[in-house]
Amino acid sequence: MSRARGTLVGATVLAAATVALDLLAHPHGDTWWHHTPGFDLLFGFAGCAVIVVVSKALGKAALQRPERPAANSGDAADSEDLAT
Amino acid sequence: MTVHPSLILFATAAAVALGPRTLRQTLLVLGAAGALWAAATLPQGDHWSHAIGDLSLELLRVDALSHLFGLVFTLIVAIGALYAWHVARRGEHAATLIYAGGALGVVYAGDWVSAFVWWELMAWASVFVVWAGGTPRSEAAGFRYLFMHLVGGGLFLVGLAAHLTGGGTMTFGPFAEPDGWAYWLILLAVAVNAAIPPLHAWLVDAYPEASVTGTVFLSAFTTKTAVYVLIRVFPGSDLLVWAGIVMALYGVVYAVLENDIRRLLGYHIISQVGYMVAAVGIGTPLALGGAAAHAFCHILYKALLLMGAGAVITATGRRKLTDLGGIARQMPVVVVLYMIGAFSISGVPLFNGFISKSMIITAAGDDGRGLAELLLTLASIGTFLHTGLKLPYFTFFGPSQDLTVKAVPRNMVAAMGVAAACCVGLGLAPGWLYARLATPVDYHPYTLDHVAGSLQLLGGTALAFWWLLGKLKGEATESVDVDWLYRTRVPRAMQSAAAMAAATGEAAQAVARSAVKLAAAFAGDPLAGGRWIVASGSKAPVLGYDENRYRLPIGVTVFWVVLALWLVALLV
Amino acid sequence: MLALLGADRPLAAVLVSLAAAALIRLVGRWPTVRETCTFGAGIVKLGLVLSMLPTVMDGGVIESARLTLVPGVTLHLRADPLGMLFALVASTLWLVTSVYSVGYMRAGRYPNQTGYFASFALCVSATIGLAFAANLLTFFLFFELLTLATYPLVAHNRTPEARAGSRTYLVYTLTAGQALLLAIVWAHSLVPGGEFRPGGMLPADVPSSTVWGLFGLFLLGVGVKIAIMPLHGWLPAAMVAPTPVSALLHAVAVVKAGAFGILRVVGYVFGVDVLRDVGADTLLAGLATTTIVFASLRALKETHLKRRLAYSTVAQLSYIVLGAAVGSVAALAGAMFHIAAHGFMKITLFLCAGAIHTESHRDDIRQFAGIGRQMPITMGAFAIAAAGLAGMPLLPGFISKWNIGLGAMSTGSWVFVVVLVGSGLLNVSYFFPIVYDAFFRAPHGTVSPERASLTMPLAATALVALLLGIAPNIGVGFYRLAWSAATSVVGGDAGGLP
Repeated sequence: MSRARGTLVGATVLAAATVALDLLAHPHGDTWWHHTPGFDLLFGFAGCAVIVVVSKALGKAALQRPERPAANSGDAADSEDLAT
Repeated sequence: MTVHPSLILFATAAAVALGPRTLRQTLLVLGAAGALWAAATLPQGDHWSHAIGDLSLELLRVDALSHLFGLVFTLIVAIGALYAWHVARRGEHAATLIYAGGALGVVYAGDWVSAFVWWELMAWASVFVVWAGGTPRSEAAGFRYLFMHLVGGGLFLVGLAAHLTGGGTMTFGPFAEPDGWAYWLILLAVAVNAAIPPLHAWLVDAYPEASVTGTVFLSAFTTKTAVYVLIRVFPGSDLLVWAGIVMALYGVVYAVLENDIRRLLGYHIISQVGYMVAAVGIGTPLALGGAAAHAFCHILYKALLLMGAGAVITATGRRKLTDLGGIARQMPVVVVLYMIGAFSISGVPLFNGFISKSMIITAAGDDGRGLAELLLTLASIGTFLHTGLKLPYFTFFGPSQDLTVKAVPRNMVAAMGVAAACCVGLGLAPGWLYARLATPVDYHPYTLDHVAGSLQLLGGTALAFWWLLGKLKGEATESVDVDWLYRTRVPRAMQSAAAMAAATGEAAQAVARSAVKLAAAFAGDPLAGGRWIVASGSKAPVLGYDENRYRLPIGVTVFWVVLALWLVALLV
Repeated sequence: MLALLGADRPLAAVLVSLAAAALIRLVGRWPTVRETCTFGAGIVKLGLVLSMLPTVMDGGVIESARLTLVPGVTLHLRADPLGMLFALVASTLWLVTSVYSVGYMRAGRYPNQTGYFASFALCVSATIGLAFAANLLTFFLFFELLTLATYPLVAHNRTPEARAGSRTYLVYTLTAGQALLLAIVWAHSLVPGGEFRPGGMLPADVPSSTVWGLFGLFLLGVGVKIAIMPLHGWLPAAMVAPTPVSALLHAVAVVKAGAFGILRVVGYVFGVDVLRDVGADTLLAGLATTTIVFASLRALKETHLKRRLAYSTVAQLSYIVLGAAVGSVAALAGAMFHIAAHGFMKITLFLCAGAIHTESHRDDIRQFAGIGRQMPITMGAFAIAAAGLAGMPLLPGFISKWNIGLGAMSTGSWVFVVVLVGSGLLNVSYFFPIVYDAFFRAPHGTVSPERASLTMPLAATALVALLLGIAPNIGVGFYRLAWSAATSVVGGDAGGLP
């Protein structure tokens, strides 16, 4: 079995185990997602994906710009030194 | 005998800065240990009052909350001092110690005025820590940091003046009327220090520019002191709940885009403090306990993470993800210790983040705030993504960049070890921390429900990380944060204002000078007017006027006049 | 005669340095003897002033004999809390400046040192006389004497710039003196004798036009010395003087005399309520605010250290004017305390500037890179004093700002609190780049090692500043004196301080 496949199998087993734990556990809380087994697994996966996609999109749209070469050695233009 | 721990730290700072160089390390150890011991053994109660004029200052009020914060602050001073054992810059040591002393001062303050004094002192001392980074970027970042904090301090001062003249109490505690000018101004001032967006840019701007040892100290005090003030003065406010949630997610979003490892961790400070702010906003005993516990744990694991990042920077000279990779084999201990920190911040069971973060999330759920609960959990996903997966993968594992890796100084590793031990210890024995909270809470983090949920959450995140690995590589970009608004505009505005003032001043003085010249010309030669009258009528030359002809030098004249007056006084 | 002097301590305090001035001129040929005269007189004077402190602290005043020149024209000295405050600051700092001057003049090998020290003594004699003046005429006498005594000091270097600078100085101050004389004569016509009275000396039925006119003249007369804009032009020009003289002008005598004069005029001639009734306090506050803002911005443009310090002084002393304009007890107390606080902090800065000039021959702040490493005590004291002026807590500048701010808030003028806070930021802008350059940049060039005769005085004043910030009543109790004087002026209503 190749390394990637082995990892995938291992991950699935672990995931199943945690969901099983969920079935054993006594849920705490009133909301519907507290009582859904495996909810956190899906939430973790989907949430992570959403974060990455949304952040990247925001970055491309507004927040990112190429590194300024001067940024590595020092920003004289940003200096608060008003002596000169 | 009760000694204020800040005094011990100030004395140590003076001794280190002014004393013999060879004693530096001994003094640091003694000072840090002394302060920790003092903080741990302080009995509860008010221990030190000092009167200045009409003011009565309460300088050492020890209750459960201040005791807890005092404990963790002095502990991190000791750990940080160990981490900075090899640093020869005595000025940096003195600055960090005074900074820590100021933070402790705020924690133990019983009245508003002393709280303010220590608050300001913290700002002044910490800017020197930033400047000790020694690069041109540190200089610029330090000045922006100083200005931001002085503005915050100014808001605090105006708010405090409004509070006191409006008949408010001197006791450092909640407001009687939570809606006046004083309330909002001081809240704004605390928001600056807590780095609530949009007032947060100073943190990610300045923290990465300090030295690797300085950043450890910086991460511990300013924001947590702000959290302390929030817990004490502003519990239970819906605005803070939403501010906290926004903070938590804001930090996570920017961290996705961040390439500099310490700036990335800086955004995570904002994210984690967001949990604390939200918890303060929720205001239930469980939430407030969670905020305090989370602050306690955060100081430890954030320091651990930054120490790890600092070790990487020291060993490789690189600070960006795009420049790093594949160095795990050359620093295995650092990697393990870093991962302990990463697991802590991510809330992995058995580590200390788990015991505090889950308190906050449960508190949100218990208070009926379902959306808040989900969003905070979402932020938690982001945290694990960056600190537990992305940063270590691209720094330590991942494709190698063929870097030369120097040895990491042993004291740095030792300090990381101590912090890691604390993280694990607290995670395994949460009762120790819970017993020291201000209000007793009946909370058990290690239920099957919580553990299973956490494991699933983390597992799901890891799977998504694996799937999106390609998209998460560092990019050689910078993100634009809110400081874009004032970074160049404010200095330029000040420059033009100064130029205008100078020009106006010069113009006014030129007018004055020409008026005086005119008067002097006339006074120097009183006959000029007459001469002009005469000359306009006839053509004959007129004698000039020489003022020095019949006149003594002025010094002599003055002397004789004074002597004469004296004689007169004597004889009369 | 001697018995009379012993019993009349205010007069004795004034005459001590007058006598010293004459003595110095006589023994000028022997430098050590001459210096001993200066120190001796300084110590005696300080002793005399201190001896009067307990009585004044307990609420009493010490009167000296009246000298009637002509019926209706009396010279009179009195030691009251405000006068005591100023006299203490002046005598203490005179001693410090004298120690420093010796080192400075000898290191720089300045000529005409005898004339220098004699004029110095005369100058301080006039300052003490001003502090203890009990009526307007005495005040005027010593005010003008101060101008005349400082002229040779400003012109000391006798270069063309020195001559021009000192001439500018005389033009401004003597013209102002004429305005002051007019004001005093007018006041005498309203109040025979012109005695200072806490709460105001003017009779209740004075029409507001008279108040305005009188106030305007007084402001012109005294305002030049305190360098309120636009009357400040002499101050940067007077920087041609040797550094101890600049220190004297800015921290000890001249500008402080102007500040003291404003406080006397507002509190003891007109009274705060009179000025408030006619609205003159708004004018004063406006002038003070404008000066603070303009001078601070102007300082940013100066690269010569002493000129930058000069503009800083202008701005800082306008805090005192602002406190006087606000007029509540706390504000006045803060303003009065600032005489001492600013005195110690500003003199530290000037002494540092002189030390830097002596050891490195640099005056331009752009050349100060790394000088903190080469002159650590000097720059350390500089950093402390600069932080203090910016209002950092644990230093006395914070205490004066706090009181003025609280006083302003209690009268509802919160805008002045904003001005105070904002000017703190400006202070940082023009001082802290110097501190940064000194400590965090690499040193260059040669700098002679710091010499004790220069570093000891400035370390002492910096230390005093630090102590005053933590315990403002330490030693002579400046803070209590300030509050005592302020309370007597405003007549007992609380300024809002809990």
